[in-house]
Amino acid sequence: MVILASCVREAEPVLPKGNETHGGSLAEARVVITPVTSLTVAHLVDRKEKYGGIMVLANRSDPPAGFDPLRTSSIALHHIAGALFGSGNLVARCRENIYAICPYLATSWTTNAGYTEWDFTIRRNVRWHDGTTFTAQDAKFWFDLAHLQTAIGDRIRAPAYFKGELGDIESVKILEHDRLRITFSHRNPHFLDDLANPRFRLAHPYHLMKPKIEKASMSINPLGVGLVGVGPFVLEEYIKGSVVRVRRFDRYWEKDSGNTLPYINGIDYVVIPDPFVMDVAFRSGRLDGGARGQAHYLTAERKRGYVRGLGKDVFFAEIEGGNFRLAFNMLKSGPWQDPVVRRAIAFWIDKRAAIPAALGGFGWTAPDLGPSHILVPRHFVNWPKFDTGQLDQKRIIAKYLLDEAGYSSGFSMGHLCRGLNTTPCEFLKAQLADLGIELELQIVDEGEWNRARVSIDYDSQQGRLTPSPIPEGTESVYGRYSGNPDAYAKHEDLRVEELYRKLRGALTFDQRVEDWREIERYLFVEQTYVVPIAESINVIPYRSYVKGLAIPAEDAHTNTDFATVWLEKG
Amino acid sequence: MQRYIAWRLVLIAPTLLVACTLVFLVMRILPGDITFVIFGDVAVNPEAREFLRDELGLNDPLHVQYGGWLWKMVNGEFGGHSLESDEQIASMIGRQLPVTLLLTVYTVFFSIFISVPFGILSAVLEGRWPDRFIRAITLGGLALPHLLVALLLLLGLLLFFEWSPPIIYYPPWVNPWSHAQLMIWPTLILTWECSSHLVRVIRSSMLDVIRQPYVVTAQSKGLSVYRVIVWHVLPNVMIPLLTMVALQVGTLIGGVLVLEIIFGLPGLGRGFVQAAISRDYPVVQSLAVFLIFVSLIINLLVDVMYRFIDPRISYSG
Repeated sequence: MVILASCVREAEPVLPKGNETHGGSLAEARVVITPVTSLTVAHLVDRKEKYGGIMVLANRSDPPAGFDPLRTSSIALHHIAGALFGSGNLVARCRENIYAICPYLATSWTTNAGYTEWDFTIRRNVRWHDGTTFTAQDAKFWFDLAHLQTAIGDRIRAPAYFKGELGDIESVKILEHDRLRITFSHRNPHFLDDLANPRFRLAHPYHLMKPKIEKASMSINPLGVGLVGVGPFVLEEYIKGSVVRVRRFDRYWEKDSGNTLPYINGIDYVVIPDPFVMDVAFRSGRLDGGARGQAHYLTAERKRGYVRGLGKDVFFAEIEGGNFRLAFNMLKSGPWQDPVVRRAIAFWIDKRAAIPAALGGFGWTAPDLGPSHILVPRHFVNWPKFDTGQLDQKRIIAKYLLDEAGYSSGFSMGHLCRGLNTTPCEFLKAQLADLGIELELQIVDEGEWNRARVSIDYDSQQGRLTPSPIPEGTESVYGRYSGNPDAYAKHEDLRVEELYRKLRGALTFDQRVEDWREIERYLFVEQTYVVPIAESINVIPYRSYVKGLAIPAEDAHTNTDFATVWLEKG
Repeated sequence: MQRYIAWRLVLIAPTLLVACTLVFLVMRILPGDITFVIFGDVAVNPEAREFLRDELGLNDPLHVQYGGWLWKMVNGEFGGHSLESDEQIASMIGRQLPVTLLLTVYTVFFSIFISVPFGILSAVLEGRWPDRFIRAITLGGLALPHLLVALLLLLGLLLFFEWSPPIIYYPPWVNPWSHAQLMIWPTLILTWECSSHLVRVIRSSMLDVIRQPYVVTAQSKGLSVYRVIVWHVLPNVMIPLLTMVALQVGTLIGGVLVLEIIFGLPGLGRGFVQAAISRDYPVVQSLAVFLIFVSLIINLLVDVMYRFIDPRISYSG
């Protein structure tokens, strides 16, 4: 098994330095950012026999939204999208280190002193799967689709769901020598971190999509133009509800120590909505790897079955799965408005018990960022330090605090519960019952859950599990409700906004860490808007002959191109 | 008879219109909409959500949405296209219906093939051990849910043979061997349930008929058991049998969601439920209307067939 875990803890995050001299020509005033690491995986590759074979992976459903990464972040899409559309945008997270930025469809980039202008030089040897050369025009087209509300007559096309994460883009211009300039109305020093998000894939060929949009086919998506991408694999066949077959793209640009990638001849993604069926198919030898996505990730019990049945023929990739938490709706009246009550609840919950009871047996108790996160080793405060002490002692404090708040006889509180997985809700209900709090579970289907979690209709909720490896990216889930309706806790606390503004302005690593710690302390301790309970670990099975997987511990969406994978079946 | 059929066909139009209206309204009562499902598990700028709602026409007044969809139902577009994937609904049905139809045909064929002899045997040998054995088997078929049977079956295949059915569906004209290896299992499970219904209907109908005076007369005339059953009993069992088969066909075409999911069959039932969860309004509405239409046609066909099976039935008056 080779997993290129990207836990290079000594590595500093890539924060480009803006040029402070404003004299001279524009070109001279820029600083070329040298990539921290190359995209090569040389230590893995030296034998020709790594080429060949078809890998068969489970996928939990058909990719939604016509395979459009501008529309959805669903792992059902991104498990496949990496192979078709590539692992990154103009830049990508490096395979060996998720916190470093590597060039992808751009070869280099520069920024000005104020971080408001970013210039990218487009890679010249990249081709779409239909043979057309990838140009700056394609990149501009993607940025325009992502941040503009394209209109033809009275018909409009919505911008990308992540429009806000790209920053305040003022304009996107094509410069000579196949370069692209992106101008922001406010400084954006972390633009590369954002752009390297593997969810932001370029899947929109200008030469195929532009004519459709001009004919007012506004909802045109990658599926509508034949899934023509720039990734290492080209679509061979898509049978909806059954299988997506991709095969090696012979003109893929990326190399590995001189060897062309990808190594394998293709991947069959078989749509298997039921996890039990996936287990049976894997164990009977019909699959080389499991699906990604909630419910398909293994529980401890299912993993034991794999080990019992397959022994050394199977290995397990582990990926941080996001936090299990209790978040309060501060915009709805109730006893939870009192920070003392919220603190009491935080003290009361047995967080270690949540791992086997609610997270399938895999996880650790931590507030948000996992132990492999770059901010962790030097400065991070792990969860127990927020409420140190034995559970018995903490529970005495919790009772005392609840009495002090005037709720010694308890109260009832509603709780939005996702019907797809009610176990965490039942865990919380059982926990709080002993404190005298009746948690009224309001179990809803996916449609209502997706609506409800951005509403203020419910007293409390858990939010979604998706983690963000970038601290700045967490504002969308911890920020004020008016600007961040998907925030776990619904509040309008201006102080939180101020703290995030401070974090985004941090230019040194230490300052960034200190600012993040301040946010954590405010959110989880002083105000306890959110009670972090435990971080889940997602476990995916792979056959032992699957080599060269690059799966970072932090994010299931990264490196899903499988370009470096080979099958050592002997 | 012809006037009766014509009248029934005319009635289909208003029935479908009522169905269209009800399905449309029910879908709008459900909380949430497809933009939440499309964006998925991420924080989304509310502005982006509103733009997408505009793009998909979800911000149009309800009567505009209803009128637009109704027009697309009759102008040949069969409801338009999926909000989620932009795929034409007619093409979705064209893809999913053959899978479901094949499963239905296999199931009905095997069910009739099994249930007729066993139903007769059970009735003729009433109270003896073969009858008790057949009734015990049919009891299992009626009581055990598909989910449990399918999971136990898969587990059994894995544990005893280290084998599982293929995970990719192929039509029989593309890969007949793989098709057979996959379809045999859901067909067996459905056949067990379906034939259990049929065996019980045949058995009880036969027991009723066997005690009729004309059957006693036929036996007393010295006719063989075979002739009595085939010529005098079975024709009278056909009407309840046909009714039950029609009901089963309606259920099967409506989709057997659980089995379609477990065996990876991209059929109508799975597509229908997936669209409902996604709040893909045009797809759910159009599929519902299609299934209602199919049910109406099956009912009409059955009513017409009654006339041919039993000449005493008349639709003239």
